[in-house]
Amino acid sequence: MKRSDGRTEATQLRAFAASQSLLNRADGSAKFSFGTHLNSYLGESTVVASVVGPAEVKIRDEKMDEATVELIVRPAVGFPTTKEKVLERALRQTMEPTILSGMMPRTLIQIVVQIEQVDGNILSTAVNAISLAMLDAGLPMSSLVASITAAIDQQDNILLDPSSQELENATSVHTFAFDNTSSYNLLLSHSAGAFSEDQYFSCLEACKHASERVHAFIRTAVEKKIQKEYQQLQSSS
Amino acid sequence: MDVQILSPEAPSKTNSHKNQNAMDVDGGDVQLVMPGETITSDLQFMRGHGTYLDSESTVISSVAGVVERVNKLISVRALKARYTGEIGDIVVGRITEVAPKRWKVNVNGRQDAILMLSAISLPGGIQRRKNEEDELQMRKFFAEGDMVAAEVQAFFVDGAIGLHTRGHQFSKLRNGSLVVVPSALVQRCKSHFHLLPCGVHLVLGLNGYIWVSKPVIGNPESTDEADIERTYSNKNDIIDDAERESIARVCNCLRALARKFMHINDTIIIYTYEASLKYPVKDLLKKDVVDSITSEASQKLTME
Repeated sequence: MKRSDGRTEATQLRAFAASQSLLNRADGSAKFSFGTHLNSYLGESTVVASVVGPAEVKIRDEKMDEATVELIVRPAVGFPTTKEKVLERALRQTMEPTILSGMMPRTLIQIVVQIEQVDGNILSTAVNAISLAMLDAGLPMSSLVASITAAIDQQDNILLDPSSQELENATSVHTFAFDNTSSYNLLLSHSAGAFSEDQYFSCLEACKHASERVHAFIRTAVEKKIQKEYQQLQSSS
Repeated sequence: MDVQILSPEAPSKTNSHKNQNAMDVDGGDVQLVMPGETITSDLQFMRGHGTYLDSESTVISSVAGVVERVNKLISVRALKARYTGEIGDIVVGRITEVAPKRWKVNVNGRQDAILMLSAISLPGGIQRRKNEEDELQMRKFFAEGDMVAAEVQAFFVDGAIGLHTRGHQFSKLRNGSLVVVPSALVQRCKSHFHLLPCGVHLVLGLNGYIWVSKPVIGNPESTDEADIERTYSNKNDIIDDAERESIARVCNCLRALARKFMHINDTIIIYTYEASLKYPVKDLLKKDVVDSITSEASQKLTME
């Protein structure tokens, strides 16, 4: 099978790329992309996320027993519109349950998502970027989230990590996010288009399987960095 | 500190809890965990910072970091988290707000720290209760944006840090510049106020804020009119070019150490400073120079 952007498998994902701590004034920041410049025949979806917090909260937003999570999405061009508000809501509902906010009452956690480049599945790119940024900020979390999008095309194929061209021709689009515990809890399910129950569940299975790859990638990306920093810290004391 | 990994097909290594029983072995290699990963399901261990218990009282990590174990207490330390205070810590902070009878101070914590009017020392070391007159002229002591060195005195019920600046070493900070490093890098030690041989004064705040300045002249405890005036003054002394350069050099040495993620104390700063002398100040943050001066300094440290 040949996909519109040159991929050969329906389950093939574009190459991931991530970098952490790229903003020096935020507590944590990360960039995540599906598709990279290195294989430029593929399109690219890139999101930069920054996390500030736990920090002082305005009294108006203060919660006595948990942290206030604020999520802001900035589009690549122009001002935030209703579309970004929908994205904000979906992202906040995904990330909020994983933050152990009871450990930091009366504080604010502000997450800012800047969309850099869009070529399909921006929701899952943003989820993965926020996950990495929260790790970088050292926020207490109950688990890690990773997300993958699947689309069903007119021939009833399930395409993982669809590009925007594939999304245009899709009959339905599904985005799922899973945590990294052994039970793979579902944290986000976002579907658009017309689809049957069977189609939904086969997408769910495919995405669950693919999210392992994202989790493995996040772990390798972070592991190397922590190991290096920890060794330097040990050797200098 | 930029990690870029490209992998079209990440190795399909599941997040297996490979070191589930590593707790039984003392020492050994370091165990890295990610949030949501099980550290141990052994009931004899107690959970410390950076962990939580699930319904089966399994100890699970809540941050990405290295597992640390002291006897039966297991904790995970995130290398880049915000500062959590402990009583007796020396911190450097910036006044963000003047409130009734108190100042709010940004100390890189999860909430602003609080400096009560009653917890500051009056100019000239006068001992008396603060009255309404003092409350009306609080901005004469500290105004928004001022830097202050203080000690953690207590915690308030909501978890906010309470500071005090009694004693001659705590004061308003001027004549220098601020360097911000990750708070994990500054270790607790006997003294956090240092006068380096190069004539630069350092306040190593445990919250990761480091104040590098020209040494304060005059005795803060003297009752001399000029000295009293100076305690809460906002005017910098005259700093000549040579002094400015050494302050800038020390600042850049600190940034270099922070970039290499090394512990920061007075000894390593002196060594890094000495190693940096063969480079101009503006070159100190170039990548190869950072590498060379920090490795030279850590070599000297291990030779001791």
